[in-house]
This record gives sequence, structure tokens and C-alpha cells, in this order.
Amino acid sequence: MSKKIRVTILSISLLTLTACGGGGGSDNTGTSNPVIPTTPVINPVIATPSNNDTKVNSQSDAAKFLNRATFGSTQDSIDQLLSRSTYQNWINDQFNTAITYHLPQVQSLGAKMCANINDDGTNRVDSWEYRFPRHHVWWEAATKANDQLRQRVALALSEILVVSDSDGLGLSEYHLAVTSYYDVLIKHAFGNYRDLLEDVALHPAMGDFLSMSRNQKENVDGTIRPDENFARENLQLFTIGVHELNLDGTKKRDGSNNFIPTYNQKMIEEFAKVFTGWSYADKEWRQWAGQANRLVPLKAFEEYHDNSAKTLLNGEVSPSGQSAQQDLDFALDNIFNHPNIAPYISQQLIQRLVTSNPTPAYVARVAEKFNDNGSGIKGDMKTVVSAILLDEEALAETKPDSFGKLREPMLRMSHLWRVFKMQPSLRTGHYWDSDNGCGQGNYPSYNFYQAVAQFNNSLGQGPLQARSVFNFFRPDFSPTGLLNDNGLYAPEFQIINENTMVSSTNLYHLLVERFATDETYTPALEEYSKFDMRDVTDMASDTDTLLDYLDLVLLNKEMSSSLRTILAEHLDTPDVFGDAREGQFQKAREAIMLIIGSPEYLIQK
Amino acid sequence: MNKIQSQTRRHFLKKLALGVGSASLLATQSKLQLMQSAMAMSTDYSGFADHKSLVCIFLFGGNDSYNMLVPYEQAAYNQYNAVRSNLAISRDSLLALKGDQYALHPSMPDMQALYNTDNLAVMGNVGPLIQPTTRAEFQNESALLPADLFSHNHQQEFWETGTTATGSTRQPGWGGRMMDMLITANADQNSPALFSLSGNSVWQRGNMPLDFVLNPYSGVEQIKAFEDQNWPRYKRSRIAAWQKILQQSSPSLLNQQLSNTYIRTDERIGNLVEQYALAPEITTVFPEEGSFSKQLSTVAKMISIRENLGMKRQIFFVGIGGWDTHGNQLTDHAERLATLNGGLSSFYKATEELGVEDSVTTFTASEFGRTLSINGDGTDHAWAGHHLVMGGAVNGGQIHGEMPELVLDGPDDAQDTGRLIPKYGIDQYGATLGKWMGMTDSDLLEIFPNLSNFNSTDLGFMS
Repeated sequence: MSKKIRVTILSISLLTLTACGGGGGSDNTGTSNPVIPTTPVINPVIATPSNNDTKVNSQSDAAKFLNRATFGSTQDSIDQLLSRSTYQNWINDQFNTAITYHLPQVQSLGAKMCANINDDGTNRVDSWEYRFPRHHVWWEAATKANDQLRQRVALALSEILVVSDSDGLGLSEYHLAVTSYYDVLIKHAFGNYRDLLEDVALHPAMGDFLSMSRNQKENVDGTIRPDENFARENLQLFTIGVHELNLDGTKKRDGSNNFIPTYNQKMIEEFAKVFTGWSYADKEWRQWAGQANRLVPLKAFEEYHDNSAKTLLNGEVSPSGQSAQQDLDFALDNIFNHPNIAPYISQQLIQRLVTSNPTPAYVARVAEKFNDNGSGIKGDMKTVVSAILLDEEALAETKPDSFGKLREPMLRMSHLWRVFKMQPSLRTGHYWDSDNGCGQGNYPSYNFYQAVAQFNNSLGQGPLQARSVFNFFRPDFSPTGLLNDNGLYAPEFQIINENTMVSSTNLYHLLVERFATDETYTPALEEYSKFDMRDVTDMASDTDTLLDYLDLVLLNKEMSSSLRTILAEHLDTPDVFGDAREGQFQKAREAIMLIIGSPEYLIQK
Repeated sequence: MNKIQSQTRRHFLKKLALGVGSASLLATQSKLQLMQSAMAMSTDYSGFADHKSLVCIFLFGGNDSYNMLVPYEQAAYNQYNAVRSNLAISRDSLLALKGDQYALHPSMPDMQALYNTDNLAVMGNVGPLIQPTTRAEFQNESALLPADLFSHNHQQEFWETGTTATGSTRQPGWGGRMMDMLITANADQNSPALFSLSGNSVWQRGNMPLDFVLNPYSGVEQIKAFEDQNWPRYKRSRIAAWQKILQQSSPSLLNQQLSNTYIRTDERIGNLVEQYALAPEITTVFPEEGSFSKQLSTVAKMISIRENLGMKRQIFFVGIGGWDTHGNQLTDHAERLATLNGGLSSFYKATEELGVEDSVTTFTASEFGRTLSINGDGTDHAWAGHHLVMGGAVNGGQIHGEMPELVLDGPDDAQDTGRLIPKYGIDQYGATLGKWMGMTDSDLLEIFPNLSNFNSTDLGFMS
């Protein structure tokens, strides 16, 4: 990257600094004046609009694209994309769609659920109970938000720049903080990766998760040295990885055919010094922080910052005497300038959105755009996302046998919800049996025998619920058997095993059999949430009509003839389903259950 | 053992590994043939009359074993206290082990009792090594070192396989490799006998599909949608359709992999569900909270039905997270160790209830130990660590291995921040356990890629 651009970015960061705090606000009682809890965004120079004029030729092409760019294709979304003629038009629409932030909704819903109130009636800043509204709002946004592409990219980013609310990892009591972190990913999904890195580094959720907050310089008697946690994982997972890469994502090798490390332990220790001196904005350094404001960025405490000179990547030395913010900016620029970041992040984003095994050429094409959006800007996410979705390999008519990816559990579920219009029911009382008089009732809630917040027990996955910073699965996971034998990756298979196979199949069986309706209904008056299966029940009187529709919305119109034959044979078994509506309803459910369990559905091409 | 013989075997295995990377289906074919010949070379264990089970407890995140096992002798304690500063556990609160040289963290009273009755041993100073490595060799870069030291996932992989991948294909884990060979001891050689209670680990995957992931809470359940029933009327037709779907051919390798996984699950749950449902309840009380004790009580249940399953050898993988104590360590680590203590203690009692305390050995693993130096309220990624081995068959009440000197920049420090170099390799630790399981030296040399680089293949903590 040219020096000029680096200076541009530095000045953006400085602007950010001076404006810091403006986005704050500790009032989280669900007021109607929500704040986006991050440093204000300053959009990078707008890229030259892409001129990709690839046409959307068919319903099939539209569905395929939408299963990558959204939380699942539906009849409406397919029609809409076709009406926009080119993919780029649709993408540009998405770039300009109003942003759906989660925090204001979680705050407001949480207040109705009394998540903001202690048992003794006093207010609390954050709590474990916000878990329920957090999940509710996440599913609501995934299935209904208009800014689908932004939400989808945010999910992808949340699987690279991981924080998790899992027990024992520091965030299980701070679901507003976790929500606010997700909003940072949403905000920068179409911004610049460099700005994202800054807001991630200074978010209190990350501060808690990777002990960035209250990381202090070496003390006087030398018994305490800086914490290496954020320094290491930031380099290893969020930016450049452990080995030097070519532009196409393949690993470089030295003269002895070994991989080349990008950094060593000493360098981690240097970066650890960089990330010293940050703590919660509304507390003193040593003050109890259990109820600190985790919705505004961490604040610099210079007396705890190591301002010595530090040797960073490529031998670049940060000058001594810099402030915590200056050191942070210098170091993030240093990392951002490393040639690895483009292929490392591009490859993972391709895997999250399109295919587990992109060719090196595909990675290189996207990485090139990451390095330069055409206007000399590096890290422009709009350009990167467009390049991933519009690449010739993604849109090719014929694809190699290794193409595609396993639909991860969250996306399989969201797709079904979108197609069959899952609606929350309205709770008549408050969520908690509390005696303190709070709880306004009449708030929407997805209600099943198993709460949405517990889905991950059966699915092996839930939003921001990974077991560690290493995500639910690694980008280079390869399951034993055919794929590993052939040197292919399949990250999502890391959470596929006998247990998740059985429990997820049972969960879908339960949902399709027990939480679906073929009648006119008012979601608000129902005790439980339901799939709306009226249309498909109507269609089921003609097996072909039913299968045509399911083929379109679930299978990109690429249902194999053998699957179609198998399904038709089953659905048309004489004297089993009958002509009554009850039988037609069951026919629809049979078809849906078998399709969503089939390998040709689960492997998204 | 014969070093030359082991070299030949390793050469053969290397050839085997080379056949793996090709992107063609033919590679699988030829690999299968090679695998079969590799199988044929390993020892026949069908003569085993006794039962033995091995239980791996993986502490994900890197356990700070320097605060789990602390020097108790005053001078050594002082050294520890100086380096650990405000993260040091006060000597008064420590639980002294017999001999009074070392003590356990105050959260582990049951482990203290098991140690003092010789049912628990400590194996000190273990970690990922390719060959014995000194400080000088580390610093002048003359020793072969595990790749990507101090990184969680890379060191987990090394712990579980004895190596880190250098291409896109991964080496099998040593738990899985043991089962590949030990399976000849069991009645049904296709029936999975390595059970994970903690999802997919690399450790459990051998060359043959003998691992099976159980649900820590419910063990194993039927797939209800496809459970064989006459009612409703469409059930049989649905099952038939499902079977046909799984048999569909597809050129997609991803499709095939998924179909295979479904089919394997389908084939194998039937008998397990049946036997598991018949298992008598374990009456030993396990701690109520958390997945860890649930995992262990399910392990006990699986051991209790070993005879009905026709199994002489079983292996288990149990996982517990939250050991990456960079911050808030005093509180968090104490909680983790209490959970570990409670679960292990109940599990030991459950093996006594089943009368198998002498034939079940439980051991800890963790990707690395942590720095001696501290970062304020936590510690960072390091290298060597101490491990617990529990059961009636251990040489208990002893600390095995040469213990490190707990000083910065000392003779065991890789650099100057207290990342101590292990004295003993994972390969040696695993081979000692494998030998107890009854495996031959030649099989162990085949499983553990670095074992022949060490003088001793038996660290002596098993009787």
C-alpha cells in the first residue's frame, strides 16, 4: 500500500479519536433514541461503482446467488432479484438499504422481559437475561431484515473476529455488550476492514473476551509483563495468520520446503506492549468493572500504556513516546499493511459465503480487490463482497466436483424460517416470574418447546456462541474420509458428528411436525411459533406442483431427477395420505423434512 | 525395541502419507489398500481376556499446571512465590501431597486424597516435542521443534497427533490409531469403541471409523423421524424414501462425505441405543452443574455395558474448556480446578461402584502449560505442563519425571519469560498409556511419530 493511503487511514483514525465518546450513552433502558455504541464511522473513499453487468438469467441462478448473499432464498427474494436484472444492481440496492442494528431492539425487548432489572427492583447495566432478547432479535433480523447482505456478511465476520457468550469465556453475563459487538460487525460489513479492526480492538466485549481491557505495561519491580492474548489472536486469527501466504492464499515455503512463520514469540511480546493501557470508559483502572459501560469503546489510560519503541512486522519500529491511541493506530496499520491480510481474510470470506475450496485463482482475484478497490484503497468491504459474489467461479455454469459448502446449522434454520414465514407469538405476561411488577407483556417471542437461545444444544451452533476464539470450525478443517483423503477442506463438518446428526434431525422433525400449521392463524394469538404451511398444503393436492415449488425455494431448481422420483413415489403411495386436507398437509411436511435432510440440500452449491 | 525396524516402519508410513494428498478419487482407493496392509502388520490383540478403558480429559485452552501442582518444600515454594508474585497460591491454603515436597491447589481436596492413597499420580514436565530439547538447542535453533509453538490449535493438533499438518491433509490422532489396532480385542471389529463426549477431536480419528460422538446428557438417541415403526401409516414409506436418498450417487465429494456420515450414524446407533437403554443407573452421585460431570457419568455408563457390547478395550475423550486464563486467573482457574476435582472424584467412585477401578485409567491432556511470569491477573501461552493420571493401575502417590526449576531465564526456560521446555514428549506420555493398554512396542512406534527419538518409551507412571 502506498504511503499516501496509509496517511489517509491514519488521519481517519485520528478523527475517530477526537470524536470518541460521542456515540456513548449508558442509558440502556430501551429508550427510543438508540445509539450505535462504537466510534463514529467515517466512510472510506467510495469505490468506483463496479461495472459488473452479469445478468441474472434464471430463477435457478437467482436462488443460488441468494443462498450465498442472504439467509436463504424465498419466492419473493428470487422475484425481486430477477426484477433487478443484474446481480450488481441488487448488491448496490443492498449497499444503500437502511442498516438494521440489533442493540436498540435488544434493549427495548429486554426491558419488557425485565432483563434490565435486578430481583430487588434496582436497574442493572447488563445481564445474563439479555440472552433471550439477543437471540430473538438475531433470528428476527436474519429472517426478516431488508439489509440481508449486510446481516449475512456480519455473520461471516462474526466467525472470523470471534467473541462468544459461552460459559467460562467471560461474556456470559454481558449480552448487551455481545449485541453491541455484533453491531460493530454490521456497521463495518460495507465499510473498511481497517476501521473494523480498530473498533474490534477497542470494543469492551473483545476487551473482556481476549483480556485486552486493563492490559498493563511492565510494572516497576518487573513482576508483571503485558498480556499477550489479544496480540496473538489478533495476528493469528483476525488478520494475517501464522504462515506467509501468496496472493492466492497458498502458503509460501522456504528453501527447505517448510512454511514461513509470519511472526515469532518475541514479536507477540512486542505487540502485547502495543495493546496496553485500555480500560472501561466509565471506571477507574482498578475500580470494580462488573457493571461498567460495555457499550462505548475502551478508553486510554496513558499511565498503564507501554510507550517504548516496539519492533513490529517487517522490522517496522513504532517510535517511543507515542500515546496508547497512536501506538494502536501504528500497529494496526503495520498489520494491515502485511501482504497476508488480503488473501487470509478473502479466502475465509469466500468460504463463509460461497465455497469451502475456492481455487487459488479465485482467492487471488478477490485478494487483489482487497488490496486495491480500483481507487487505491485497501480493505474496502463493498468491493471485496462484490468480488466474492460476482466472481466467475461463483457464477460459472459448470463447477468442479469439489465446489460448494455444507450449509451451517444457523443458515439451514434461517432458510426454513424465511421460506415458511416463521412468526413469533405474543407473550401475554413477562418472561420472568418476578414479583417486582416489571414486565409489560405483549412482546413478541419465538416460543417452542426449546427456546431459540438453546438451539445450539441440538444444532452445534448459535449466533456468537462458539466454544472459543477459534470459532465453531476452522477454515482448514478436513473431515476424515473422502474429503481429507483428497486434500479438501470442509470447515462446517467440524461440528457434524453422530450426536449433532441425531439431535439436529430430531429438532427439525419436531419443528416440522409440531410447529407448523395449515390453517389461517394469527401468530400473535398463538402460544407457540409456527411455520406457515398453508400454501404448500394447497399445492400438495398435486405432487408435481408441490415439488416444483420446493425445488425452487429450497434447491435452487436443481433437484436431481432421482430425488424427485424418490419423493414422488413416497408422496403418491396409494392409500396413505388420502385426499383430506390433513393428508395434504402431511404430504407437504414429508417432502420438506426429506428435502432439508438430503445431502443435495445440505451441500449448498 | 529395535531402532532400525522402527525406521523402516516409519518409512512405510511416510509413503502411506504421501499417497494421501492427491486430488483424485484413486488416491482413496490406493490409500485403502495401503491401510489394509498397514493393519495387517499390527499386532493381533484378539487374545485379550481382560478389560481396560482409557479416558482422556482434554483441558482446552492450556492449563496453568504450575498453579495446580505447587512446590511445598519451603525453599522451592519461595522460588515459586517470587516468580508468581500476586498470582501465587498461599502456602497455607495448599493441599500437601504425601512426602510434603509438592502440594495441590486448594480446589482439589479429592485429588489430594486419591494421591495419598496411591490412586493418582502426577506426570511432570510433559509437552509437545519432536526430540529431547535443551535451552541451548532451542536458542541456537539446532533442535527440531514442533511447528507454531504457543498457538492453541497447532499445539492441540500436536498433542493429539504427534505432529502438525504440513499440507491440507491431517494425520490421524493417537487415540484413534490405538483403537485401529486394539479393535482386534473386541468381538465386533466394526463397532465403534472410541467414544467422544466432547464433539469431534483430532485425537479420536484413526484410519478406521471406530470413533463415535455421544451426547453428554443423553448418550445416544434414536433418530425419531426414521425410527422403525408401523404407525403412522406413512412411516415405512418415509423410511424407505430416506434410505434411497442416502444411497443416491453424486459426483460431489461433499455430498458423498455427508451421505457417508449419515449412513455411518444410522448403521451404528441402533445397537448402541438398545444397549445404552438397558444400562443400569450409576448410583454414584456426580456434581450437578455442568457438562463435564455429565460427560463422565455417561462414560461410566458406557463402561458398564462393555460386556454387552463385547468390548475388551474402550477409549473415551472428554473435554472441558475455559483454561485459557490470560485474565482473572485466581478466580477462574480455581473454579475450573474445582470442577475437574469434583468430576474426576465422582468418576473414580463410579469405577469403584462398577468394580473396574483397576482397569480404567484417566489422564489429563492440555495443549500447553502457561508462562511462569504473569501479566497482572493471568498467564500466557507456554509449553511444558504437569498432568494427572488416575486409577487403580497407576503408580500412584508419586510425582514422575524430573521437575523443572521455577525461575525465569533458568536452565529450563526457552527464553526469559518462563516458557519452560518440556523434559518429556507427548509421544512418551501416550506410549506409556498405550503400553498399559497392552500394546506392543512396535505398534506404539508406528502410532507415535517421534517416539524413536527418545531414550525411554515408558515413563513409569503405570504399573
